[in-house]
Amino acid sequence: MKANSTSNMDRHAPLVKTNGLCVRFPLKKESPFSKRRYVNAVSNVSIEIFKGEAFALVGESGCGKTTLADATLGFVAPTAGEVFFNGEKLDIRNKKRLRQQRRSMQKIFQDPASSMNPRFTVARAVAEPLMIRMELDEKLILSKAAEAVESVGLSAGDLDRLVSEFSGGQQQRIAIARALVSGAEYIVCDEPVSALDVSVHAQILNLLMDIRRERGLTYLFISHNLASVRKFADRLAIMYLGRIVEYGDAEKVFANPMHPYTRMLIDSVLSLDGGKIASASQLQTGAVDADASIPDAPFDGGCLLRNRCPLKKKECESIECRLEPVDDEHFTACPYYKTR
Amino acid sequence: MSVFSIKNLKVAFPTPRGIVRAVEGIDLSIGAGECLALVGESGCGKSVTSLAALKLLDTSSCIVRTDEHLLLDEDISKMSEREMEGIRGRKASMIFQDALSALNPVMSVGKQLDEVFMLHFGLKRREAKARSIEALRSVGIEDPEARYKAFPHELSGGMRQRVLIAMAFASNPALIIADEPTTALDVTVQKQVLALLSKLQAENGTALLLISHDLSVVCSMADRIAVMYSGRIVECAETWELISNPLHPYTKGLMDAVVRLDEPKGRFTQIPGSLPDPVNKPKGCCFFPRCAHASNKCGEAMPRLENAGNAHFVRCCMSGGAYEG
Repeated sequence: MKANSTSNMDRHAPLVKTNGLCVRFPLKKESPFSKRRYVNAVSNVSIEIFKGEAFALVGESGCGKTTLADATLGFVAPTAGEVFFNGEKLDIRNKKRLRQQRRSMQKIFQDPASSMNPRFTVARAVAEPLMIRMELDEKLILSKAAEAVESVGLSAGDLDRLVSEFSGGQQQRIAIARALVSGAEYIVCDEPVSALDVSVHAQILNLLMDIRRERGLTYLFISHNLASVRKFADRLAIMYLGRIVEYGDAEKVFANPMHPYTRMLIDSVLSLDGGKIASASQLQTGAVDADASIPDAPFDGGCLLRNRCPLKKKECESIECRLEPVDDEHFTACPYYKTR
Repeated sequence: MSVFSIKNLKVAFPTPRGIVRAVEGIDLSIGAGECLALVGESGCGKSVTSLAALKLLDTSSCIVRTDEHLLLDEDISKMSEREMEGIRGRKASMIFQDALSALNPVMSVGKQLDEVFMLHFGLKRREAKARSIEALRSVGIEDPEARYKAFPHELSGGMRQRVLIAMAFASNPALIIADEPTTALDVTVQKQVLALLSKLQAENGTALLLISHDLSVVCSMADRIAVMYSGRIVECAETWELISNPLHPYTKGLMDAVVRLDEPKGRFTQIPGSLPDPVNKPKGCCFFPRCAHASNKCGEAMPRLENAGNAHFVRCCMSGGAYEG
């Protein structure tokens, strides 16, 4: 899936690339003699994240977004397929090399209150990656921590305070400082604002945007808020039950969503002037009804969305959904996009 | 006629750093079948208000004062804890944000639902079970007989929230307080749960007090909206009136913070600054330090909550109001 250059990012150099990536987790056996079953958290995903772009991964909880992101960081081993970072394959068994590669990667978690030790001082929380990875002297570590803390809008005087003394938004700033301190170029932002108040979202997202521009970072931005994704991301992938159903240039996908699931997600965005929720009809037509969960049975063919899809056809029971190009920067897995 | 009304509610918590005045004089009144929403940032006192409404605050650690506190024309301000137990879950109930911690993890959801019917209606377990299964069906849970036996961890987030809603509506109370009922949920599930809540509320004519920090959630549910800031109501009006004609700068800021789907790529609009320290609140208007339109006078005196026409109340002098005292 080669795309042509339109914006400032380098379209020829994917920083992260997955090739037919599959990750599955074993389920607990019901009895010692039954056959082991698996959850296919990520199945056959091939994406490219280019240097300097903000790539968004969108989907409901349980669709495998976090597993896919963790696979690009070498946190989980692929069952099949491969992950490349900077052109080099991530080999989860080569611990030494993986540790070196991980110096250029970081992750920002959803809930800052539970991803940092509340009894650490800000200095210790931020400097932790430096202390673990590199043999630097204490002075240099502290000055780097101070620099990182200032770059996220806190003051160096805050370094001696405890993490738990700060508000949620400020704690997320500290988490961002921790991700920046070691000079990582690839940062996974796993729902960085969903644990925060709506009024704080803008501050954190603007901060992430500014930092990316200043430092030329690459983001994998995980979110289920489509309105924010549209403002934030250059390209995106919509994920449903472990598969990518729509992929490509963010503006093109929003201007012309091709997959019914993408449209469902767009429809579920609440607006201020949308009026009261249509109570009865919403439930009965049930376009997006029932919570989705990844089937543990082996894939039996057919479109996975078919039970929730408002445009379902008979053929959907048996078709094989592959990403097909709408144009050279927009791909969809619904074969019926042309007929609509 | 209002189902629930509270006048001049004040809540203060003594702390080692000083007194935290979480709520400083709030009036609320909700009619039958009406949905009133309370919006504001975390720390503005909205959850404390919701707990005080059902007298759920621990009075050994805080001071609660009201001029009037009525539920169905009964004065509940003087009621004992024992009398309140007869009210909660029967005449007024609550839906909490985090369903996983609101439910008992070692008891099946059906058994927990049974308790509502056994406690409040004195039913036997078998009769209660039939009612519980009916209640699960009414909140759109498929195969309720099987789900009756499920434990909370075996259900998805949306399903758990539905169970809580079933529980709240089980005794057909006059008032339901929903404290951030969808914050922990995905956008797709959020819309379903809100639609369900709205449907049940309309069918039963329940008065609903909805608490949220997200104005877009509130707009899809509420008849009237009260915007809260630093322990006070700064603006209150009917939903459409408030959205089409916001008068307080804080309300405008909250509206801008909701990202619209048709916004192009670029920076997000943000409200500068953060809530004032509850121990050292600024003199004068509490929004003064963050306000772009403030005059010097705003830093000295608190504006009054005044009617700007169309039952639209606002606490801001720059939109034509007067100062207190």
